[in-house]
Amino acid sequence: MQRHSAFLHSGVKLHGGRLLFAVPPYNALVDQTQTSLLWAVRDGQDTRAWADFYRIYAPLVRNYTRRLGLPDADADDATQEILLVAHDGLQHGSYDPQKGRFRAWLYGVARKRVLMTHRARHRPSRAQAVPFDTGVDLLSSLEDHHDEADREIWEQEWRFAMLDEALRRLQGTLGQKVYQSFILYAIQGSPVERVADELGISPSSVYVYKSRVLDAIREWVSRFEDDAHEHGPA
Amino acid sequence: MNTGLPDPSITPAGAFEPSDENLIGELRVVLARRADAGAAAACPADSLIGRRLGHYEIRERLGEGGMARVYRAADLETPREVALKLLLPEYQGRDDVRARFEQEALSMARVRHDNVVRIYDCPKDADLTAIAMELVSGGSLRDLIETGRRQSQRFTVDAVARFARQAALGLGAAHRAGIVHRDIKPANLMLDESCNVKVADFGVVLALERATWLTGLGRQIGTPAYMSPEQCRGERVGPASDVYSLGVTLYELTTGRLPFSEDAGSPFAIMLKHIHEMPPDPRTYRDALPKWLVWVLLKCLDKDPQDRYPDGDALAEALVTAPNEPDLEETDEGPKTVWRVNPVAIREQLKQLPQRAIVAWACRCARRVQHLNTDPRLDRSIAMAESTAFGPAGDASQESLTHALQRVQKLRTASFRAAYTGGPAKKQDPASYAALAAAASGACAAARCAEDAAADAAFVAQNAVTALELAEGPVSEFWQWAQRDYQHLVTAKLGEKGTIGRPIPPGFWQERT
Repeated sequence: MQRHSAFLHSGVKLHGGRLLFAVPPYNALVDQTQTSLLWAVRDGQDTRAWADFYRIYAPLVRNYTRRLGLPDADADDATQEILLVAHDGLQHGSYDPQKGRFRAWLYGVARKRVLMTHRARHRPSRAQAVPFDTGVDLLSSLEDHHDEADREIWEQEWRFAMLDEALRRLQGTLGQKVYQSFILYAIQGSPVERVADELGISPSSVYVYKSRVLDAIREWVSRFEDDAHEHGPA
Repeated sequence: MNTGLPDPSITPAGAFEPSDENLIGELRVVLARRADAGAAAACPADSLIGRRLGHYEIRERLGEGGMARVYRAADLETPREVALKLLLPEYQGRDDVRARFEQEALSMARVRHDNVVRIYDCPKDADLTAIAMELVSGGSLRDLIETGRRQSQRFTVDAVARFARQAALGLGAAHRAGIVHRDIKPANLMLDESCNVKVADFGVVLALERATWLTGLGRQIGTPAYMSPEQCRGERVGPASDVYSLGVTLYELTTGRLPFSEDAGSPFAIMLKHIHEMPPDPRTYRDALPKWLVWVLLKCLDKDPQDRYPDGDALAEALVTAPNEPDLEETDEGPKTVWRVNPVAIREQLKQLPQRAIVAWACRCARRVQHLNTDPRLDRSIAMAESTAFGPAGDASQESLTHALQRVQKLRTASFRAAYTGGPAKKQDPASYAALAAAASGACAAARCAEDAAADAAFVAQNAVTALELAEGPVSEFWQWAQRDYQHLVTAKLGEKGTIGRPIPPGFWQERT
């Protein structure tokens, strides 16, 4: 239950006597969940929430659109528009948490926008050039064909975004030595002895710190997203 | 413990439990990306990144001009990004310059036109004054000119006229509001994602000119290569001065050269030429220009402001009417021919042909555009298809066709995708990808059976035309060859005269002017 301690301090929003969702305090930086972030963005009161939202999801969307083949300038535009749609979706309720996770919803929005760009770019000229159905079939078959691959890219970028945010938030709470030890040993692959020596800790601590950081990351990512499905802003 | 909340532990679906190795591997990617982004951002050692100014947060430097730097910034109040233009530090220290900068920008904010970059507001704090404006993503005409120069390509007359008219309309809107730009040049004509011109940087120059005059900072104002004679002389300038500068820009777009270029030696020498010398006839650098365009260009470049188009709107109107004026109508170029394949006719015709004829014809199409793309896989695929088409009868078995099909299918799919997206790393221009797609689908057609191949052959033909047009290749020559091939194939090579030995029907290839 300790994992969900944020909920113990949270407010509960009631709507017509019905429990809608929990609102963890937005300021609890490490304990913040996607729910509270989305709620805060929807609320529109806290400009930092939008900044956080942007920081987490903009690189995700941008990397995704670029990996789907949009040139940089188009990817930037698409990212901006997708986040705008996401923002509107949150504020005006077109994102329905009952129907699925935010991750899946945002994927739908992003993919649609990318396909639109591809279409806008190629359809008119091809429609002009080949006004019988082979051209259209070809494009749709391309789209179908790449659906799985697109989803895989999205899932991977989503994990990257989550990990990036997890590192950013955990860096402060884990303690500098733990974090440095993890970076040197686990990420950069320095020998245990050298890491221990450099940081003035015992070699066994290096191992301990590594699994501590990994666990913390797993836990942070799970918690950040996990409750969003059930209690995201309606 | 009853908080009245659902227990989140009952939905373990989102549990994040990758193995240590996978997790570390992905963390490495994340950290490496951070380092890359950090290196890119830190490169100009910019302390303003991340800083707040009003309700904007500065994100990334986009560019730097003589007087200001432009950043990409996020609007924290509405979810949009803007371009934030900040005066260079040397100007930020002077309150009078900052006041002028702000005043002129705000006066520009009144002008709203599709061809003018929108000004939103002027965020400022104790240290900085900036202008928040529409973020335009397509680069500038300067970038487009450079790209054309690298690829030894020139803009078509239609493209020049389109850019000219849009820029003139944008200028006209400002002129109606009593604002003169004073620094029209390709770098200030921005393009949006649909390649529409948006005039940028209004008022900034005037603000600085006044301020520098007031404060004696003495920085060069304007860009000599594009300055009007009256501007060079330091006289009062009006809307006609912008028309002159736009004329120089259009001259450069059309011919790829400036009327008075850098070989004059110094900026001062260029200014003297603006005052005294006649611009060379644009046809000396590019023949086959329509007369009306030459006339419009030279009228923009007249030494006397009275003899130019009085303002942007007048120029925009002239660009519409001039092509139809009887005196200017006939051109040295002759009517421009646009080739369009009639796919229905092609398909109908090709249905009549035996498979091998189609294969052969598709191979010819592929070979015609092959020089546009030197991918060795393409050559192998076409060669294989050719051997099926032209080889001895026994070789054209179903098996070899199927084999060829499998080989080229991958190439075709990949190249279509590349043609659509501009390629994975922009190493090749869209035209060469289109050519690859065209050639590959030709080879693909070669490997297929008749009806399918007919559709593909029409498609490859159109792709070839598009590719050639994009690359400004000789389309008509291509069609002459294709027609000859076709006739050759249907009448002689295959010897099945009973069904296919008829002449090419009218409308097989359409010619639109």
